[in-house]
Amino acid sequence: MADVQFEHVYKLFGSHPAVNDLSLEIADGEFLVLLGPSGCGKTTSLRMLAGLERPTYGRIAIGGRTVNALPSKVRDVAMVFQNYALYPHKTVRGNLAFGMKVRREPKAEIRRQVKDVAALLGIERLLDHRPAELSGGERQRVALGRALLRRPQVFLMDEPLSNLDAALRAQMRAELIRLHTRLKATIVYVTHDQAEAMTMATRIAVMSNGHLAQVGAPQQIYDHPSDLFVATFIGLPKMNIVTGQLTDQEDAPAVEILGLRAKLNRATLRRPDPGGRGEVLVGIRPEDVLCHTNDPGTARIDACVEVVEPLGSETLITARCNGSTALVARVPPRSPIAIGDRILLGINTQHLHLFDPVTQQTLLKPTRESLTTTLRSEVAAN
Amino acid sequence: MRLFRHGPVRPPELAGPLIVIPHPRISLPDVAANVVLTVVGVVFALPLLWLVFASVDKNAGWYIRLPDLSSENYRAVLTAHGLQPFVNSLYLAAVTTAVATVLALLAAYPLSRRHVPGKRTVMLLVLFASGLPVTMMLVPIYEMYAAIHWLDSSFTTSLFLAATALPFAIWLMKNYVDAVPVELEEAARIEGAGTLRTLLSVVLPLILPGFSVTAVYIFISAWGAFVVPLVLDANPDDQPGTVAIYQFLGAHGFVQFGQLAAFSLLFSLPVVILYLLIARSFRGGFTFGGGVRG
Repeated sequence: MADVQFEHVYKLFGSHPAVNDLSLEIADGEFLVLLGPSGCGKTTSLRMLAGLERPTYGRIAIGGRTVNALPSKVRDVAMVFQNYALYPHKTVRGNLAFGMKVRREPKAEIRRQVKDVAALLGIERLLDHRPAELSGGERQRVALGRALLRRPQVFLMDEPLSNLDAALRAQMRAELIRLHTRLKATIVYVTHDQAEAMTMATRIAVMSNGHLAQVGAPQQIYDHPSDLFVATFIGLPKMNIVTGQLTDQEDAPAVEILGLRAKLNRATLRRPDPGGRGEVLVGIRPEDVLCHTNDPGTARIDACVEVVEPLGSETLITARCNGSTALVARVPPRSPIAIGDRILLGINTQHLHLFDPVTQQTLLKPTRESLTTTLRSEVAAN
Repeated sequence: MRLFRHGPVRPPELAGPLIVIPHPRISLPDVAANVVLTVVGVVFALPLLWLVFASVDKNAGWYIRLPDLSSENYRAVLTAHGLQPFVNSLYLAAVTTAVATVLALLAAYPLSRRHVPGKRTVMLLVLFASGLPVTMMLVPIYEMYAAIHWLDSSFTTSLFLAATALPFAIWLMKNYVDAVPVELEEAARIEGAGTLRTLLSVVLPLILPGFSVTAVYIFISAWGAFVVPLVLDANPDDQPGTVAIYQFLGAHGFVQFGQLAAFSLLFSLPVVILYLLIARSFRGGFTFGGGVRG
């Protein structure tokens, strides 16, 4: 296994930068997920690592060795493709053994290893079938087996689960996590599904428009997103974004949203004086929008329920506050809330996220200190 | 549904209401189209009918007549030259096919996959080249062959035939190679296969139907090559069937129709058999089942 480095890597297609100054270090044995929407450059980055594309500028290294000019076969990587890319004219056994045959490994060894990997992935009974006869999940396992038999330094996976149905996807996710633990493999995994990223990654690298927006452990990114894009991309349902006002009252910064005011802990802000009066974008995760709170002092917002989505384990409600802003909230399952109900919403101001409306960067430092000094929000005086 | 004199009788298994839609009446345009097609079919079939009849007719003429059955024509044809013209044709066609298909595949692969500068221009040139009439090139080619002492040899003649077959073959092959999903080759590349290995182990097996089509096409056109071997190869032992057949036309002042028909029929047989064999493998289709999703 090896570590991977991207140093100021650019990839231009014509004049369009698909990857724009990507610098990333991936440690040995890490499960790193490249996460982002379509067109953000994650697949291009993976393909550059695989040797299927050459970087326009910059340096890519595997195990300390610069690989820019090296062909794929020398890089010692294995790739699992989104569309499986199995050889249709070969049997499963043939597909698995092809790489080893190309590398001229002894026949007995090939036979033994193919059998072992097939047993590991539960596809022994399929060895003499052709890919056309297999289901999607079985084909994906064969593709995975082929990569395992390569015994590479780095595994590369390009959205391998996106063509599977939901139940199978969940099952394969667990299998991949188990494989990662067992093999202590370095895995670079590309996906647009943030749930996959959160559950499998040791670290997530969020990409947008060819840039690296943020890299960090899943919970870290969830709790401390560095900009508006990361904040709204991670977390389902999406973070609520509300326009608020920064104020300076009694020599302490505070933020006013939806008719409420929350005092802010200066220590958590990037700029101790946030420039006084200014508009700010406030992010509130649905789990921080409270429907029932027993705290008598907490101020509430009047809202009208527009959508109710029962998921079984919880219910999502969308409610319109003050006639303009819609907030999505998580409520316990079997809550007796119906469309059209008027309810009172509270906000857990401990986990507010603040963003500069122009640069869209976070205004908070990623610290453990609590954001607000007051647990209760006070009604704005006017 | 059984129909009795009193109308349809419903069998007990069918539960719901039965909706009977009357058969659409045959329309005039349909009839007209069928008549035209029949006429065309007959026009094509009649000469073939003559061929068969005349070949077994002791006193064949240029018209269709019921034959005086005899195998004399076949015997005469086979004893006159034996199977030599067939062997010569086979050699010519086989060498042409082998050379042309291999070269076409090797040319089509980079044209399909790699970023070749001026690729579009090259492909257009190839397409136009395939339209050039061979007879236009024959005189300069003859001069060139004479200069390098390549005349009067079956092998060099088939090289020229291969060269003229190449443009179309490259065009065909490139389109077949285009249809193979690129991911399969990328997967092979990552596994360590070089370009040639990928071409032979991954691409070729997947374009086998297309490859066979191209090979058969080249074989059939080389089998029927007449002017080129006539001009470039004066050696009487090298004469392919197309040139040998000439002798039945006016060698002694009159045409031996019976022998002409017999020879023609025998000569067409290999091509017909080849075509029938290949046609069956097409029905398997050109899908890459299971290799790539979607």
